[in-house]
Amino acid sequence: MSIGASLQSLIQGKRTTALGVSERLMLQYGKKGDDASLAALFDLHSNKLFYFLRMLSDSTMAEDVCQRTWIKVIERRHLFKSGENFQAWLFTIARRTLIDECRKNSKIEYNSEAVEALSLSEQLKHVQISVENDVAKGLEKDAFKACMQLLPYKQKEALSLQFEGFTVEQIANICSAEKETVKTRIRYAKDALRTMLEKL
Amino acid sequence: MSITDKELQEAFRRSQQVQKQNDIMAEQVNSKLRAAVLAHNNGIAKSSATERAFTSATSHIRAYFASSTLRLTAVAFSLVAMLGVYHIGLRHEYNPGAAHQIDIVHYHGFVGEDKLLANKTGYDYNARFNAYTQQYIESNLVARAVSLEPATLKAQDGYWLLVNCSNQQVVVSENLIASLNTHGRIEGDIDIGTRVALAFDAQGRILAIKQSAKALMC
Repeated sequence: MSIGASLQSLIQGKRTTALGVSERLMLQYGKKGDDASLAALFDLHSNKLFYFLRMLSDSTMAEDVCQRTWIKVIERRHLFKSGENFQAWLFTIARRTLIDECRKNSKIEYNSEAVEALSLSEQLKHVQISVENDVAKGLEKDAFKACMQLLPYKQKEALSLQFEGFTVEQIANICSAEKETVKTRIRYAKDALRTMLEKL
Repeated sequence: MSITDKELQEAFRRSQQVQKQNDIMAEQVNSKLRAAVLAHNNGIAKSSATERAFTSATSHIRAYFASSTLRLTAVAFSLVAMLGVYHIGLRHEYNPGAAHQIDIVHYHGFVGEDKLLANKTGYDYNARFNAYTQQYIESNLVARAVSLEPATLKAQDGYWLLVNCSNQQVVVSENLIASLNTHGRIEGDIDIGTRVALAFDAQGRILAIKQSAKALMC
């Protein structure tokens, strides 16, 4: 074997070990289209994806968008390339699908600027009502979710993605935004969350 | 004192857990979605098979009706050319993944989530799926390990990712980890990098995950 070929195999070997489990499964699925890999990918990511979508919409729309997203994964499986992060790829598809859906039925405003107009006391009132509703339904109270839902859409989106473990660069790619813009959105979102949680 | 970033992150995770508990429908929705997604995948696989069968049948009919050797040769030549182009297309399509050797992945998760997979054990999967039921986890009758295999915990993100001696990945689903934990079948202080012993039954299902006191030989 030539020195060049040895180096190449060494580099490829290193890349192989760097691949995550989801990326391996997705490459395997892209090659074979088998149920097992797809089912494993679904099990590893469906809960997080559903939670992310529900944070940005409602249960019905989250379910619908979730299904459409996975169908797109099936149909675009040959487009996934090694070196890509599967979860970032999945969330990018999901985000675009959600925006299309929001625009189509205009049920949810993509730019929920109206929320920004609420005063702190009004926001806290909303949170309290939401928590009381949960308790009345016999559910465990979740003030954090109620506060998150009051954030402007783009801030909520960026912060949710960061909490899911994405880097600022990945979030910028997923949201098609500048890195600095993403950082600002996250900072504002965290400040607003802290203010609300501390006053509760 | 102001809430730290870490505390916000923890609050987010707690909120995810609370929603999971609160939403009794979420589990059903998830199963429904899973079945629909896998059914769609099967539909695509079947339609590709039908397409291939149709192409093959058409080529046979053409060959049958060819009255001269020249026409037959022409048909054969175009078929070969078409197949060649198609093959090149396929090779090109999957080229990105071809550079990587994909290790075998053993996936362990609950059978309640995948009735579709239960009947497909005959398939030649690289990803091998081991299905579990709640009864199986709770049963003491089956709790008899027939083999112990050393492995190292590589990642924890709800699910556990372990790597065994053959450098194969063993993925244990979040639900199965929770269930094994509830039944006291995860022993020791297991963290990323910890060497563990995986106890399997005769069917290759994990019965317990224990921290190995002394290093097991691969």
